Amino acid sequence: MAGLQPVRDDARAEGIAEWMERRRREVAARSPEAEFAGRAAWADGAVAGELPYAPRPSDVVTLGARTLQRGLVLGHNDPDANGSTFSAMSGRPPASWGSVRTPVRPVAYRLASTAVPVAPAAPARPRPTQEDDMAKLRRDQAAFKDVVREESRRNSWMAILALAPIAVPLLAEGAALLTGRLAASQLSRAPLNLLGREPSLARAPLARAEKDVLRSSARKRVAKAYGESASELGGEVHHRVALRSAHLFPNADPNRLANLVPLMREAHVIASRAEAEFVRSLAGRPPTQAELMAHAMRLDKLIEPYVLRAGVARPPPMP
Amino acid sequence: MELTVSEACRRLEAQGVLKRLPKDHSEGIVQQVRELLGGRIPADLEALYRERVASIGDFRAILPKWNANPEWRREGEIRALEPARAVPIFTDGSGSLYGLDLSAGDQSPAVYFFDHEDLFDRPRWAAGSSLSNFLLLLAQHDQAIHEGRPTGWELSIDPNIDRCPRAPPLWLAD
Repeated sequence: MAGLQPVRDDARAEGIAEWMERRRREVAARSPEAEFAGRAAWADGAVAGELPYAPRPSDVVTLGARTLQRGLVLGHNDPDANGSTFSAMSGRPPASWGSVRTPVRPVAYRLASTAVPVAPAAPARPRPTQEDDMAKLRRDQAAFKDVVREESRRNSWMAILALAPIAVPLLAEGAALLTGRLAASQLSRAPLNLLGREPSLARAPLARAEKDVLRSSARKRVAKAYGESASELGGEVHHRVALRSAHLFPNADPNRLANLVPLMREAHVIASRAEAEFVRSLAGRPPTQAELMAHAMRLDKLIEPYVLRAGVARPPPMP
Repeated sequence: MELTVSEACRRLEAQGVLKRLPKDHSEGIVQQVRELLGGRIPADLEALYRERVASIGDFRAILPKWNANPEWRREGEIRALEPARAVPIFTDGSGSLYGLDLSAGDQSPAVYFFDHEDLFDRPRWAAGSSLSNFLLLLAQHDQAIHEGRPTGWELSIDPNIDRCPRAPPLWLAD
């Protein structure tokens, strides 16, 4: 690999022997002192506001080597002469590197011996503390709020124009809501109407003639809904909530389709017996709507296999 | 002059409301019902069976399933009204039954309505003072409701309907 490296121009100009001699010196100069000096030089530059160009760690070493070399050329290797802690160690390995001596921050190593002397720093202005920054920030924020508040006050009249299209319907709805609440409060003072919830307040039971009319109507309604009469389907119309209890649902049509089921005769007989048993279990008291619905749903499960549907094969005869 | 059951059936058939059974098993059905009723069968009921009535309007006739093989015969609903001393002849299509009174003895029996809500325990209202009158009334039952005929319209067909011994007519029933 080394043989493939191109010959550098400086080596070609100065001759291979001179170039090798120079490279040997440069490598020799890459001692720990060079790195230390490079860090010191970089720190001095940072303090002075002129950072030397050293983007890579190796550049810092190079920077330090050049600094050392320049110091050697200028003869500033006397520690007493330049007063630099680093310079005092230059030329020999730091015997106390990081072991005896307390590591000091690079900024402590001031290179008074650099070729370009750093201009004496102006009396350093005390750096603002974090508390000062926060106080200033708060003052700025308070001032900004005052400005915003003043602007809002000045432009408040614009809100009327902007909100008018929304405010008009809202006001109308609010008035309606208020009226409704007042009306509701009036209603709440009226006697509580429990019709339909309290059996004793419900309508009177249906008369025989009324039941007869309702049954006739139920047959017609089922025939219309199913396209065939229950008789043609081979069954009968069953009222899930029996007509004897229809008065307990004063707001419901006894012949609503949800209450009518075309049923096989045999299943209807069973349903009638279950209905009679339910009435007997009440011991003379009228059932509640909840009890009636619970009974109807319980019965639904029993008769479901025997419900007749148009176009569907009849279920097998009951055992 | 009161119509016979056969005449009433012919009249209703002419009106198109009566349907007959395709096969004539009347002899076997009469025999079967007679046995079920203890050896006696009302003349009007026998006449009805011999007319092979399947239905009148939406009201299906109740008949036993007769078969030449006795083991395959089914009595069906024939004895459903036995505790109330009646024999069912038609269903109302909603679970209830029209039954011919068996307690009349030798007199012409009346027909009563037995409500399934009461488990057919007793007749609830009189449906016809005789079987022939009942058939005529049954044929017009739904039509009368549809037309909204006044209460007691049945009297125009069956003047004796309010004189049935076991139950009042419909408009007087509780």
